[in-house]
Amino acid sequence: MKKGLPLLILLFSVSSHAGKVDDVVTAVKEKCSKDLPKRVAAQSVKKAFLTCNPGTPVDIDGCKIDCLKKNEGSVIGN
Amino acid sequence: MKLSITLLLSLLIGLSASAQTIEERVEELEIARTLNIFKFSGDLTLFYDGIELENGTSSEVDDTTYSTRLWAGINFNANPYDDVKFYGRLAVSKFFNEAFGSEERVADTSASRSQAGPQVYLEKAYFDYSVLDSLIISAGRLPTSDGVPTNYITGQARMGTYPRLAYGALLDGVGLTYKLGSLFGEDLSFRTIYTPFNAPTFQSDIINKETTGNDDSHSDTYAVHLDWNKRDTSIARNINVFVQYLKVSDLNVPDQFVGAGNTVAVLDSDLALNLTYLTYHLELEDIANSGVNLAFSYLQTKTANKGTGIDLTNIGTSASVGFNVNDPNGEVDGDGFLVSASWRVGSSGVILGAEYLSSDDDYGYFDLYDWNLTNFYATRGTGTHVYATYQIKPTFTLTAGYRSQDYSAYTTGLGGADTDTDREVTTMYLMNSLTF
Repeated sequence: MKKGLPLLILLFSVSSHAGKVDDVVTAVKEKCSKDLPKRVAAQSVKKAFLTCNPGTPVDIDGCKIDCLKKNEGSVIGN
Repeated sequence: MKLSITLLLSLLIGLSASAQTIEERVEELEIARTLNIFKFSGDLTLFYDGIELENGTSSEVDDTTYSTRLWAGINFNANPYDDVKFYGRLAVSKFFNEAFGSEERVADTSASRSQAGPQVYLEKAYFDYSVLDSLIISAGRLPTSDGVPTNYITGQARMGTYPRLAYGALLDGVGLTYKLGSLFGEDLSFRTIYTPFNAPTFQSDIINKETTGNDDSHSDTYAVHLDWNKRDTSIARNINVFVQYLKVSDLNVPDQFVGAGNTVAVLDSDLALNLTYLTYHLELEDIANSGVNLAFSYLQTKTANKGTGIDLTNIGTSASVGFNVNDPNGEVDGDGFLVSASWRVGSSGVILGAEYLSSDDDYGYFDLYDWNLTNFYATRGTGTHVYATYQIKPTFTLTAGYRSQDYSAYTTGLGGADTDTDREVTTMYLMNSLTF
């Protein structure tokens, strides 16, 4: 049971970011042709979607992808 | 007995809660995420400014001043429908602990940027409604401020609809964006934006601003522009070409009140301004993956006075004047250009940047919202700005900068024709910014 608990937490954590995890995996695959494990992608969601500036590169497990945070509300009708 | 029933109930409730399958709990999470339509973000910026003024003439006083300031804002976006999005921002700007100061410049078009104390102002509140994929209606308080190259200083993405050297105010209005991308290549948008000025007065005996009987309460203001972006080229990650025509029609200048001895004299106004701003803007972002950004903006301005002017009779002068000219029907044309460059130095977290502004004596730009205190982008003459930013974290930065403004002319506004000057303003500043 003790061994299963972290796995359960990880599953919930991944599920709550499911779309974003896939986005990170896809971005790394497209940029560096690298298969990023979902566990690593889940841990990188904050870095790729929150603490970066749109239009700047972000290092995810040695691969530089574009920041996935959208630049919203800056240009009308964009 | 009562205790047993309570224990039994607790056990049943506990069992039913834990009896949820993982799928059910995931579903609940997904539903909760769907119902939460709001997204929040924000920023906090602290400033330290040291400003020195040298007037260059013996009759005027040189001066030095220091200030500490705080700007903060909360952004809140919502997606109530797939095709309707809302963007809002509440913001405040203030000097630290202001006491006995007189630098508040509160006006609707700059309220949140006026160092107006701890009051929070509405800086942005608008919706985008996608009638078609290529046709979007926007309305509300629009993001007309902080255009390129404002974002270079802290290494952020484009922050405003208009370029910096287009029109320096926060504006309310309605916009229509037509995306022409499918016809003309990548990401070409045509926009028209209507942002009327108002001077409402609704009393029992008068429903406009003036006592002259003129209906001066409304001014049509509109902009039309083309905004073309070509992304991921071998030259630059993004190339932006932007052309805008902005017209302010018949903007009423209200009656003026001036001190005359122990009384206040009223100077009747029959003066309206027609202002035009034509902007050409080219930007190259991240040239050849070098981290270098480069932006050029050229602005033509025209100030045209209309009416019989401001009547100076009540202060003993039998004349009327206009805005930026003595003639109530006078016109002045000016222009200026701004070159801005920044360099993100590898992955060191350092950004180095410089700006150079040059304008003629009749340059008619004004600067109501910028971070600087000395109207840098409105300088008549030349302005130089250099800065170095260190990204402590990607969105947590410390900037040290120097601005120099060498004026060749200035105007006092009403009745003020150009006056030659050797005025110099220099600013050393530190800026600490966090966006989250």
